[in-house]
Amino acid sequence: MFNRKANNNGSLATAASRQLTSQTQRILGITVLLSQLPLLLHLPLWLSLPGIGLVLAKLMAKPKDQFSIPPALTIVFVLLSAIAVFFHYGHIFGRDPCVAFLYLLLGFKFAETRRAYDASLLIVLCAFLLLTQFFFRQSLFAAILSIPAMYFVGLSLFALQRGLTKTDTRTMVHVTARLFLQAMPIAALLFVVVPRISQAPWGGNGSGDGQAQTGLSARMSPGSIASLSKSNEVAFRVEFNGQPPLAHERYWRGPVLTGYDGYDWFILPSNTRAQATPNTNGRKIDYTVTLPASYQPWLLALDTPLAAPIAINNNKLLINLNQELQIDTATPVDQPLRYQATSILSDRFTPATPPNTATLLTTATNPQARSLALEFRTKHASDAALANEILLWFNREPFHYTLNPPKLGDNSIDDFIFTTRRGFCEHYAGSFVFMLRAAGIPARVVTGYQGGEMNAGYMIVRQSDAHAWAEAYIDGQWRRYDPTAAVAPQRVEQGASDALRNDASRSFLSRVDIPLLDSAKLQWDKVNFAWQKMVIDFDSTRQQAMWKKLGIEKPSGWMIVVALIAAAALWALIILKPLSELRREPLPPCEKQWRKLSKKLAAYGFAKHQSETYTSFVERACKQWPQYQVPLRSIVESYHSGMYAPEGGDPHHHQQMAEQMKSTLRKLKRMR
Amino acid sequence: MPIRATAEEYRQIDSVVSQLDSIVIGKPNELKLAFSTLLAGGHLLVEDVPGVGKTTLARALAATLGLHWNRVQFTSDLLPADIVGISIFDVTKQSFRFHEGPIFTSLLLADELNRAPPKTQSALLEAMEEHQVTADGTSYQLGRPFFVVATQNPQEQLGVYPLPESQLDRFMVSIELGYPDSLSEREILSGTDRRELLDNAEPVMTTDNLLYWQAMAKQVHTAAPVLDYVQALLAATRQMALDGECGAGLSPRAGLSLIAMCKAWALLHGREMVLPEDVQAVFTSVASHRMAGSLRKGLPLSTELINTVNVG
Repeated sequence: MFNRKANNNGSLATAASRQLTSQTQRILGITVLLSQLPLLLHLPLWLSLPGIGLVLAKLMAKPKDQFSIPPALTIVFVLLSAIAVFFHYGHIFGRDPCVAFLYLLLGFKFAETRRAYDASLLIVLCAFLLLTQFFFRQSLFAAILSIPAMYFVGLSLFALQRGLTKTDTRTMVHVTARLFLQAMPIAALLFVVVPRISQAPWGGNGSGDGQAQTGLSARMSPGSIASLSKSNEVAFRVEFNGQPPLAHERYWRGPVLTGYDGYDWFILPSNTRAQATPNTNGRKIDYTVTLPASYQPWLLALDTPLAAPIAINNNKLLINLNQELQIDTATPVDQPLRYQATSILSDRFTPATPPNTATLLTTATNPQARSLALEFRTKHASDAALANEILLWFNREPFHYTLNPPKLGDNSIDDFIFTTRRGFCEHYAGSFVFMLRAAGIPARVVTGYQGGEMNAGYMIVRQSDAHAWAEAYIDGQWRRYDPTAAVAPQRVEQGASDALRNDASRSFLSRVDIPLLDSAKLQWDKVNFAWQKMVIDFDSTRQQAMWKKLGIEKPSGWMIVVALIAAAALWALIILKPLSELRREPLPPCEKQWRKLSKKLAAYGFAKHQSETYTSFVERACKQWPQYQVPLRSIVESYHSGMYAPEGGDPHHHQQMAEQMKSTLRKLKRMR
Repeated sequence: MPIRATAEEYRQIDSVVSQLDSIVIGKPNELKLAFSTLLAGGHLLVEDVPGVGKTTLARALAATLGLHWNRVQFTSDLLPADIVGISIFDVTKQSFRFHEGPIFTSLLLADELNRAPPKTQSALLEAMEEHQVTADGTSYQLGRPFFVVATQNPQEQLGVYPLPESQLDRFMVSIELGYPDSLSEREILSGTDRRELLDNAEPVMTTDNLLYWQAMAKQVHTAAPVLDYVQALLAATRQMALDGECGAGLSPRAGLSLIAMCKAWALLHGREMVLPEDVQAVFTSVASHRMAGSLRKGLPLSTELINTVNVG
């Protein structure tokens, strides 16, 4: 159909139905490959490999073979891949299956592309596919990954039009690069000015889409935090107003686990808000947390949080500080979140209401631990003394702090405290809370992070800082007890990596200090954090704040369009007519060539004196490079002829002389 | 569309140069400058001590180009009429008849020009500029070509009337012959007598040929960059004069002379266009005497300019 239309439409249409040259094909192929590349990280292999394979097969095929799939077969393939996508994801309308399908279609489209109008469509599709990677991740890395592909999109567009102008490849590459760079400021302006959409276009909650989740969870079983600790991923970043907390004050409070089923600790749903501000003393600290999408319905704050934090970049998220001082969100955090929080650096607080009975609940398991607790109880009437006794006991007995604890049986706490005695923080916290409860003291497990690394003004908290500790209700206060610190005090003072320096389960790389690598990592984190703050977090709220700062309350669409056009026109004026060119006439071609020669000779420390004539300069050069006498003299002859000969004769004379100089210059390529 | 000389024709110029070289030994550059001055339609001032071959130069030019030549020895009692000519009463015809002076020739060798009083000097200078002489209220046209080779003796400063700078402007070019180098001198001393050589020299060119080449010289192209360079040089001489380093900057007439000389020099080298090196080759000889009143004084100044003003 397109064909017939094209043929009736004269010269323009014939250009569209023109067969692509093999070079254009190659450029297109690279464009498609580069656009597919970022998605390799997000798509299953069975899907991404054939997509790339289709493009490679076409690229590798000899031009005369004209590799292409018959149209009938293409339809069958497309249907098959649609079915395959459906079976893989279970549905077809969603972010992942749609991207996967588009990814495959692009491969098919390229395989059947032979004409210019196919190619234009393909280029548009490439640009769109390139966009889809940001549905998954908006990291700086993703942005960098898309730059070569964007450049090749431009190059393909140029290559398509080139047949009409006969530009050589080098010029094409240069011009595209220049256009690319010239377009950058406009792109940046568009980013800042065009109204931001505050929600992802596919409808927000992406957590159902098979997103890998790292981080704390609502349940804690022996070994779960240990496995989390092996990840070096950034959990969140914090900027402090004023002095950051000291190492032993860096307790980041997360889920509070009150429930216990004999093996796992878990969150007991509690909808009660903290009725009053918890009563506590200590240094007050203000800070801003930047939390990547965690897909969990809670936030983290320094112990002890005073009130529910205020989200900076998302005004729709409901945040609650519940009675257990766990910060809940109404919906899981599915996009990067920045929030401001205030805490008191203190290890105890007086709750508004006394603890409920759930904090005393134990199971019938672990008889040995229970009897040990009761034994301590008989010795100490005071709850505080009893808690300290248990800690001392942990400290005295040969417990070992390790990431790789052995497996535990049904009576996991008994197994741990009497048999294996090797465990990670969750073992100690869990056992401690169990024993306190057995002795009749209300207690609960608190999970979160302990530690953090300062990096140029902000703190990085990693998954490897994940931690669990205990809270006991003693003398009307919830007090923090960290039984891990009783076993391995350096865990709190120096962090998990130091405490586990010689632990065999950690990889070699994380055990050895490589200062250069570490500082490079920190630098990269700094850049990433800046990207997060300046680009990702630039949402409608911040945009409006920017307009307000400029004195515009709420710019109308028309205003933005007019401002954009004006800015683009101004920019075009600047780049199309550089000021230097306004003043100076363009160099004659011969002069240009001559400057090339001068540059070449200058590279060997050979330069024309200002008052020296061209002839004597070249004669000097001839003495230095006698083997190049002929070309050198020929260049100066052509130059003279081009620059000084009468104009009346051949109008192309100058150009011819410049060409001669150019070709002779090529002979001088490698002067020694 | 300018007429182009063929390679065959150019050979004629080469043979003039080589014959001049064979008569005046060891002075190829000065000979070329002298010949170029002739081609450019200018006049030549030679500053030198006696006996270094000024006369030989003039005679060699005359002999090689087939020109009629005269020589006038300027003295303090020389009168304008002695150069221009005089009207004599012809008794038989009962009327005055103009008796042409030595100036009515193609090549005039004016020896020791600065010895003559200014009135006599100016008679010659008028003839050089206007190409005509006036005697008793009648103007007489001079023939073409008309070429004056004047000499100045720089050493004897007693009883001379040095030419003012404005008058020096009339001479397109000034050169200095100087003593020959030892090899050339040996050749002069051992070889055939110069006078004999001159007597036997056959003209390589006719007067018509010379006029043709003079016309061709005018057609040599000077491109904009060359004119830029010439203007830069002229401006530099004027700056020098302002700074008090030399007597006078070059006038536009001097600029015209410089261009004409460049063209002739380029033609002499078989080119149809002027290159910056042509300008450099002739600049000192065109500029020196105008800037400082004599070649001797002006040469270091003009050389400095060549070495400082940017080419292209």
